[in-house]
Amino acid sequence: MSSQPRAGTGTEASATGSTVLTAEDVQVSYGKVTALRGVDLELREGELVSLIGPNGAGKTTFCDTVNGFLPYGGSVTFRGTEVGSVPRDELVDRGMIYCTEERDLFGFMDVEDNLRLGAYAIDDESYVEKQLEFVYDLFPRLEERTDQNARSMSGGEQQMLAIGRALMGDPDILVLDEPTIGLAPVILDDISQAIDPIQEQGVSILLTEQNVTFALDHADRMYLLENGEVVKTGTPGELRGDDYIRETYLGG
Amino acid sequence: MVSFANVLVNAISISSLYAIVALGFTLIFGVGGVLNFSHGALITIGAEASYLISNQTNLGLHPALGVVGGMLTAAIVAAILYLGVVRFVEDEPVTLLILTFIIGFFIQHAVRVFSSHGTGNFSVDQVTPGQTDIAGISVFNIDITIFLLSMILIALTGVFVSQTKTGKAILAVSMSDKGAAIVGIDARKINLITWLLAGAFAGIAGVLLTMKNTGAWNMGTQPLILAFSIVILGGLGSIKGSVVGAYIIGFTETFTTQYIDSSLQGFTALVLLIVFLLVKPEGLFGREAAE
Repeated sequence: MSSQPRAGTGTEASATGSTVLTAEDVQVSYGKVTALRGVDLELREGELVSLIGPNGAGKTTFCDTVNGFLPYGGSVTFRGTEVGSVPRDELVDRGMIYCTEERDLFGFMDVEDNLRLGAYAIDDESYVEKQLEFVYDLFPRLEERTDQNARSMSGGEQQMLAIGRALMGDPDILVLDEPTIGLAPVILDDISQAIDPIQEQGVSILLTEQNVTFALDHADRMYLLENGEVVKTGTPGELRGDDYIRETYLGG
Repeated sequence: MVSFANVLVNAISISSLYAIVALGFTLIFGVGGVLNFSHGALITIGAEASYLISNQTNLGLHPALGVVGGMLTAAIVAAILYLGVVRFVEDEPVTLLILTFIIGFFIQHAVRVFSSHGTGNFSVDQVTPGQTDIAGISVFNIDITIFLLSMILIALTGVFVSQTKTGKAILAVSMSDKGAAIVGIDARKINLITWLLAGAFAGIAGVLLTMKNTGAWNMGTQPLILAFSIVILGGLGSIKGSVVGAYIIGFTETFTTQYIDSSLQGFTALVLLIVFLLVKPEGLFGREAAE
């Protein structure tokens, strides 16, 4: 079913496109601790929406939730399907692809095996070969290290591999959880330059970031999450001009 | 007096059996994180099934059918164990440890109570009876069969895990649960496959052990304890480690009981276990030691 590549031309990337992901009044608790207190968020076709906020605000919890890893209250729909109502492997099969903050690579496998496992749900072999080439073009460092075990790579290379592996799954939505955390500026540029080509494949992206500058540079729209609640939302232009954002997140 | 060559052949044969027992044990641990203490009972089940199928007082069918039947029965019981019990407590290692121990205990005692042989030993005709002269040494054909079958199973497992998509998914789950989940691997399906494989391996080991020596209701206990030592020695979760570890334990065990004292059975394995836990806790081919 998923073998049909969804990659588009990117022309549908307009703010008026249809909605691919809708979160309404999402609540998540870990025992007695409430992590999300009624979050509303929308990701439209071809958009890059960024969820910013400090450590512990609930960004990773939100990512885990939309990818079916946590029970939740409220509603999260991915192209009309409630994510809690389908098994996780089916969400992946439908193109909801998650690149976690922890990366969760297969440490004792080489780069190529990691990438090919990213296409575990894809049956179309020609798509896999084509997408492998796309990933290697995007991150030439990976192509130089096809036989290297994931665990012996640098943090930046591991991040590229994690993103590359996610792309192999033919994403409709790509959830990128803090891809820039702990990376050197030079690697940040590599990741930064990869975003446009990914969007040109027709992928809608949900990006969480503590690095507000990075998010401002790439997002179409942004949500500021604090203490499990969305406290501000707007375009990068709007948020750049916001006093609270400037003082708290951009160093005044 | 048994010749050195015969002791050597015996050591190879018994090590081959330990290897396939340990292989299943390490697969289940590596993939699902479960120390399966009912693994020994699966050996008994395989043996008992072959007894029912091939022994002349029972169905009396060809011993080859006993081999296949023992393998299948243990695989099915292992699958039932996973689907009926383990799957519900997967994230609770202590509960799992106790549950698999109790279930293994229960199965072995059920065999003792309900079988016609009770606490007595039972036998199954060898699938390859007789002896063959190899370079002047008289070797039991069953020992040759055990060695070859074990090698074939180990090689097939190696190829399956490293070359097939499902095999790589097994490795993926063993390396990162979440990583496997986010690429769309259904860990429960993968776990079920490893339980089936491990059950089949334990089952065939039980049948062959019975054909080599004799069978008994509690025949799985000793191999289980040894399997535990073997996988610690070889490195938990490592296929190569469990094979190498099996040969080290099998050889030490055979030569100690033969040339030092037969009452030392099981003792050397425990000594090796303790030494490795103190000196090299990750084992010979443990993941932490790799590279």
